[in-house]
Amino acid sequence: MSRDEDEGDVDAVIVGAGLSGAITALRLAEAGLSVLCLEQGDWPDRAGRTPVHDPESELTAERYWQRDPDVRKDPTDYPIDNSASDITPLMWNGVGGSTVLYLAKWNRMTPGDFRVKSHDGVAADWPLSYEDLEPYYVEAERIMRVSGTGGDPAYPPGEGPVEAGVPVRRFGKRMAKALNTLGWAWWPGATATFRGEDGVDGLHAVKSSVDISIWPSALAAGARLQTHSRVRRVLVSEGHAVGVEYVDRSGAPKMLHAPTVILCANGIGTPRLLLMSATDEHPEGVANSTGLVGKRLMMHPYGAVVGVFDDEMDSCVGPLGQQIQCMEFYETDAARGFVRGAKWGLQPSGSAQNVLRSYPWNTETETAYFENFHTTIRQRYDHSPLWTIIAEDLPVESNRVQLSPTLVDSDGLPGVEVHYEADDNSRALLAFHTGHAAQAMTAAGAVATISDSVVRASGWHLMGTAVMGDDPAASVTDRYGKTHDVRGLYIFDSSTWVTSGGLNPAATQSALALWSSDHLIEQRGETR
Amino acid sequence: MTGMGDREVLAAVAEALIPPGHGGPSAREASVLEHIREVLDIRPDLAVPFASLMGEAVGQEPELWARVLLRERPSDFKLMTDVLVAAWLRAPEAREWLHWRPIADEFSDPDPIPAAELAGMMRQVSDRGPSYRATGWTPKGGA
Repeated sequence: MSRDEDEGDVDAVIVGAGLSGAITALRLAEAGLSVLCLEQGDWPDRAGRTPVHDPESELTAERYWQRDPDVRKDPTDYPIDNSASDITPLMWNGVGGSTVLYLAKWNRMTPGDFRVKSHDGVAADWPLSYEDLEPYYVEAERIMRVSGTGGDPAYPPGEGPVEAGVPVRRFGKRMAKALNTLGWAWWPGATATFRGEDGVDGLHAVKSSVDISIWPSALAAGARLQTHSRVRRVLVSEGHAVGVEYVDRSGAPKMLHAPTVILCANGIGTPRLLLMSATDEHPEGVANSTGLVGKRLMMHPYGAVVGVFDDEMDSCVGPLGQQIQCMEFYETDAARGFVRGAKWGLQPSGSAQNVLRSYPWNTETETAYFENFHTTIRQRYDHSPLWTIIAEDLPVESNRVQLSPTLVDSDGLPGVEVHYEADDNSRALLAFHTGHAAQAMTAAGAVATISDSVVRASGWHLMGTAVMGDDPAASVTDRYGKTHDVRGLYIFDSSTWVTSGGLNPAATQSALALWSSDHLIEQRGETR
Repeated sequence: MTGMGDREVLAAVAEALIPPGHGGPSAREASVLEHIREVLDIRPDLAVPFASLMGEAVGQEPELWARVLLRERPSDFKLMTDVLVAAWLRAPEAREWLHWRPIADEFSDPDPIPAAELAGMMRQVSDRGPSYRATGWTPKGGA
């Protein structure tokens, strides 16, 4: 077993070592396939960089664990021009992908999320259903060691998280009582955290970042992982993927032959690679006969509401994951004037520096300084739980990723432009939800609330840019992530999402990677 | 602290942003200037842009300059306040006044809600029945 081996011809090459790539590598390796994952970044330097729980992390997080690649400007990143976007895309390019930085909120989509067209007459239905994915949700929760409490009436009955839920603390309890008074549904929040062994980052609850939770198992099963290897082209011959061309850590171009190529590079990286792979035979990019590659970008417009309480709330300590969640307004109600809904997650607002600069506080920066400094920081610090609100994002073709004509990465490959506008439905949805979340804060005893809608620095969830479907004329892949145009080329990341749901996507993306991997394994067995 | 322009100007800007009041230490009372070097040792990437920015304040009326910066150049205002607030937070008297705790500190209410109480609160939710929109599917073995 090796953490970082040289390449050789393989059964399958996976591009990207984040959530989807890790799960796919594990699954395929366990099935006996020879698998190599190429990752443009490195392993996270958890020992060398100030850990997030270090007292200095308030100061160092923005340097060492910067979430915006255009601020981070690591050589392993690629430039993203977001000047034409309402939301800044965020990601971590390296082993573990964005799970290195995510808050590990773990929410399945609901059955209705797969039937948006049928229920609400907008967007499209998925070509698969909640019941198709349900066993994979269960398995993903086992693999990721998800903590939570079963029985949430927002979901059909069935198996729930495998680990006991992270305890509900002071502000979660306060809010739960208030929601019961209002008659609004809530439930203890599920998170991909487990009560850890001491020594893993020294945390009491260990976050299931896949560099920690999955890659060791995948490598033990025989998968190989090669870092600092940036794929610049998918190779296609006579309609079949035959491998990839990439740049290794020395900057040398390399070719890797494989009959199966699986893209797990996220909703921006995957369309970028498909578009970069254009040839005379595929002038608009590989797998793009529909012209849909890069289009329909969904990023989950995001709202935030803090409540300021007179009492200490423990809102400055502990894991940032959700203590409780609220899905009272998740389903469509036509009387509200918009379709679809959002999940709220209640979490700490964080450090002393955070309460002066992050959302939603940044809507009132002036009040945090000058003559108000001491009053403001003392009112907020440790006194201010935060509702984060994930709005369902409906697909719009004009919201898109395209190659930049001017920006290039450290290997001279094109960066991307992101064009994204939060539409009227999203804005009305967030106005409703932030208003009601503020109402919940007040009911819980908050003496003040501050809200922000369509928070700019929130684009963690990158979906829809290579949509799946049964109709090859209207989709890029089939329901299993197999591209319609190119045999042997698969997309197992969130690029294939038809709609976004209104909650954190890691649970569904994990289940989809398992679902797609199992189908690939089955197909391979049938063709032998 | 060296190479960051006029110390008096920097002190005046810091004092304008974090003045005395409400029993908490001001920038001067927290010896912010002395702590800035520690901050920039931890974040050396900020040293040059911070020094350059503060150099612009020389010859300006400190509070007015800071307020204009906030309105017209919010990213530079953030750079300035990131450094100055971090320096302020390194002062023991500031931490004591704020009851500052590291983010990985223990909860001050170490005991979670008793299981029975939490179960009772959850029962109020589950008694209202399913809230998801059904699609006709039932789980294996029935609901």
